[in-house]
Amino acid sequence: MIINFLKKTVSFSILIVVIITTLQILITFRIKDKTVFGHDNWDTTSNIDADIVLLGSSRCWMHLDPGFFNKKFNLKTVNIGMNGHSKINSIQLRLENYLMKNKSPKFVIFSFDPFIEPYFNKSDSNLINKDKYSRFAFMPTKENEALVEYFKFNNAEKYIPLYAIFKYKLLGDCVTLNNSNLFPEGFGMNDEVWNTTKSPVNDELKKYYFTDNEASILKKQLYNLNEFCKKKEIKLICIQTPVYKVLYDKKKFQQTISICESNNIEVIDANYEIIRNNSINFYNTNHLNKKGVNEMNKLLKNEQKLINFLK
Amino acid sequence: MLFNSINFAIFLPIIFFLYWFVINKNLKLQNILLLVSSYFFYACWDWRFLFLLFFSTFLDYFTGIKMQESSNQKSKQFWFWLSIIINLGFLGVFKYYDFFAISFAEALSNFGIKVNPLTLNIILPVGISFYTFHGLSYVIDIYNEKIKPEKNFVEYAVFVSFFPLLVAGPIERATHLLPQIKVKREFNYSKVVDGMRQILWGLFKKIVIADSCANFANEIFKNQHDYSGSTLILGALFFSFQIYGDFSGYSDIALGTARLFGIDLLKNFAFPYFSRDIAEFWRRWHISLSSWFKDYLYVPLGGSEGGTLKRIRNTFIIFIVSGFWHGANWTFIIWGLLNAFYILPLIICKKNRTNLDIVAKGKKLPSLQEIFSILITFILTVFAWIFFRSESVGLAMDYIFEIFSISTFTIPYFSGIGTSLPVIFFVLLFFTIEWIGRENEFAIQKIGLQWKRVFRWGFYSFLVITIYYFSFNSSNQQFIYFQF
Repeated sequence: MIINFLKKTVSFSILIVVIITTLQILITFRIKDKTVFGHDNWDTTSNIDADIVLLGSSRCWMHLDPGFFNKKFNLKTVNIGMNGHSKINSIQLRLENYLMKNKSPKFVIFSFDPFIEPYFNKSDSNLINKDKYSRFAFMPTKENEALVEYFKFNNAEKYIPLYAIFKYKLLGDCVTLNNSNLFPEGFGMNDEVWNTTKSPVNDELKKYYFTDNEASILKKQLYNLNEFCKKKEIKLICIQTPVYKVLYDKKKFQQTISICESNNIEVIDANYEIIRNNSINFYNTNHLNKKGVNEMNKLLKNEQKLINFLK
Repeated sequence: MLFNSINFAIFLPIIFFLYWFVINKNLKLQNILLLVSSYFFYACWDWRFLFLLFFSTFLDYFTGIKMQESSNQKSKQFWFWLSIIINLGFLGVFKYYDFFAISFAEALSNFGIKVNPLTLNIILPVGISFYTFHGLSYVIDIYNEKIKPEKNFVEYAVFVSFFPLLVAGPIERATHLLPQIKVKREFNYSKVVDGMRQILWGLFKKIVIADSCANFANEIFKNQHDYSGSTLILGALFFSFQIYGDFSGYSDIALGTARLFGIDLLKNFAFPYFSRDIAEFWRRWHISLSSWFKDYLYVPLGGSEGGTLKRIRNTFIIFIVSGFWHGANWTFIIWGLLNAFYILPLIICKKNRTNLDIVAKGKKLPSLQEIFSILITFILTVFAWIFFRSESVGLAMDYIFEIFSISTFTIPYFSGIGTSLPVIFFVLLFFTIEWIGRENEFAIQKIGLQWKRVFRWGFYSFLVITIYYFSFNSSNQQFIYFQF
């Protein structure tokens, strides 16, 4: 009787494992090569062998339009900025992730400015949008392993079918794919005007600028990123894009230029005064809206440094 | 350690395995295992109160023996009252002292006397109301010579602290549970499978129904002043489903778990929301507490004997005490009182024992009259739950006034209403299954037993996966009755 009980308990447990694994596989197939929220573009960008890769945090994600580079320079471009992630290690991990799936691009344009943070040890991570990336947590591919580690997904999320999908409430979005067209081409441009009630005009975000002590560490880490690119025969250039005038700190933005120059990395200062002085170009203090991006592109297309670099 | 936690999912199979596969031939060892695991289970809540549980157990064990050994009535009475006073004393200090101190100070302030009450602000030891009542029933039964005291301390301690019932019941009787602990238990396949089925259904009730409804009920009750009467009605409904799913779900898990060890506990719920009158509701809701009060309070007070007035008085006493048992707050007392008023017409008309069988027995659907009776009873119950759920009588009154305002005729809206649709679907599914299985011990006890295995297991798999899904979706609330 006991053996019979054990047999049936084990059989039923196996049935449950089979069902949830099958469901996990079905969901994986459903979202394969698609985005669920737009942020999770690790798969979609893996199909694009680009000439230019745009790299950085949300300020890359929202400011650098691949379409502009495609059209103006006739170079296939992809934006792999990580919305909410400004630590230089996450940015490098994202580049490595891209390179494991694609051939090396000719150029990397890194949106490097005072918001970029250095990292201090390998476990440095930031969990913003973790839920959006949790679709990659279960049995991560070799290419995605490092980023999955960066987001600190635990063993249950990595090895138990449906655990991450259920925990981060992705089921509905994975099935309907209703939000998959949110950020086409990995470019999250904001089409809205600035709602100053929602995002007040102040310089609070200055507290996120890297400190003077961190500058030397950042310099070293930027050097390492450049060396990594050189090994892959990629030319790296940095760019700093506009912030609204209340957030602008000339000394600080000059410091990022100095860091680049001391590493012999070309840098484009696209923090144009004419854009940063007009709130109509912004979505909030540190992000441009669609109009601002278009205004910046108008000026960028005549930026000699960029033209020479991409020749 | 919550029943719906990973810790319990690890703990239970280990104890089950040891119980049936390692020490299955030795009853003494099985009981020791049950006792040790129960104390471990309790210590996981708060090890500091373990001494209180042990002391309470030892007190009743000791006084029980002393009562039997007493050569005269005076000595017997001494040991009896010693046990009663200490047991109720602990309950009074931990659960009611602050309430009385504050209420007394408030009463004095009405006469212009200002007193700063000395409050203890101590944590309520989990399960104290339940294990104290276990002990009380044992001592009272010995005093009344219904049972003989248990000489074996381990067996008695298992009766008091058996982990499935330790923290929230059912409130057991020595006459029912002790004999089961004393006899050798054999592995019974059907009983164990039945137990697993009941655990599954309990988890469904708790995780899918109660915890999901709790999200909405909490939101609405917390921000009641922001919402219209129609939304507040929804809030009261969500709470009604929550408390039923929560407590009856807990009871199902407790009964199912006990069955895994070959032990049957007292039934605690019998589909109360299908009751046709309030008297029937109280025969189907928290049965072990209702019957405890009936046997140890209502009957000693004279019960149904002595005319209608005396019956009414006794009924009111029972309901007020029952309300007070739930917690030291006027809201519980008014909840009890309200239920007493509900039952009053039935007592006066001598119709409180009309509906003894389950509704529409042997039929698929109830008659129109039955539907009407069920609806009326349900509405009355939901109304009373508003007091039970509110933090103060004032808030409950505000809630009720808003329900009776013009805003009740607006479309309900609350933060998160969009996510309530799947929950409403599962609540409807839940009550459909409850209706189908209402003639059994628990709803899914016999559902699917005649089906082919593939369909039956398909049904169970559906429940398991739904539970798995909702275990992340809900707020993973503690069981409501743990606070009592």
